[in-house]
Amino acid sequence: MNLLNRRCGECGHRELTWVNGKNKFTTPWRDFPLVFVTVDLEVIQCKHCGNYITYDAKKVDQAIEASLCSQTRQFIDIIKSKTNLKSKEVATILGISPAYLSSLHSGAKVPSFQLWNFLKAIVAVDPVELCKKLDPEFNVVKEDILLHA
Amino acid sequence: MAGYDLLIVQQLAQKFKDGDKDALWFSAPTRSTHFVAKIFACSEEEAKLIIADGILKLRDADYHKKGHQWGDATDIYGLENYGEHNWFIKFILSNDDGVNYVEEISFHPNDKPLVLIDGRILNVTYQPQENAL
Repeated sequence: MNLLNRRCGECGHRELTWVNGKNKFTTPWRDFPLVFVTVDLEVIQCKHCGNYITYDAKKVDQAIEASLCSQTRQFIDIIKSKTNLKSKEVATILGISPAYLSSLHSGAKVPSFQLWNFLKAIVAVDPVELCKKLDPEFNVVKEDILLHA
Repeated sequence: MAGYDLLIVQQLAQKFKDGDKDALWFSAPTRSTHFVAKIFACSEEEAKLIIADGILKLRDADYHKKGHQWGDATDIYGLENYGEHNWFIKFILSNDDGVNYVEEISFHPNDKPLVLIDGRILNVTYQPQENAL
């Protein structure tokens, strides 16, 4: 493929160049409305309008899976370090088995968008307070959580 | 009448399916692969193959009209009931140093009724908020 001959489908300009899409390239993927690619990935960018074009879809999928696995591992590590919870306790809060949590942490499994977003929310808000309240044994009646909501 | 020979376009779609990444050029992801990935909840590779399969399903009767974009002629087709939606498909048959390839400009659900050459009307089947969170 001669990139000089190819045209951007968004603006029509022939000003395309290869760039590293790490921390810049986003795309919808499976049940994820949008994935931020946080690993190295060569993509084509239009210098005129900034549009990103992918070429090798297999490499894109691999980079997205690697990004999601890396982000998930970081979310789990942050939750465990901030709350001092054990893996089994974190798994209970998330409503998944310890074995599944382990496979998410090792990158053997890619999480669903719901689970990934749940982990992201816990990390972004307040892991200690949130994990306390997400514990299934947290007494919603005694703590008046329904009245204060 | 269509500007480009649909048979040549479909041969290129088949070449893409067979592994020739240069045969289809997905130059406008926000109007093609992004829609397909959202609607089919699929990966990038699957989205491109779904588009190639969609092109292979086109018949002459699915032609809508000729258009123009960036000084080139485009062909616009409508694909009925593909993955439970109707689709607006626009492409240019281009040439890269003597080798043909398809510039896939649009492959998304039609956002207004589309009248095909055989008289069929493809109604709007997709509302963007369907996939909103």
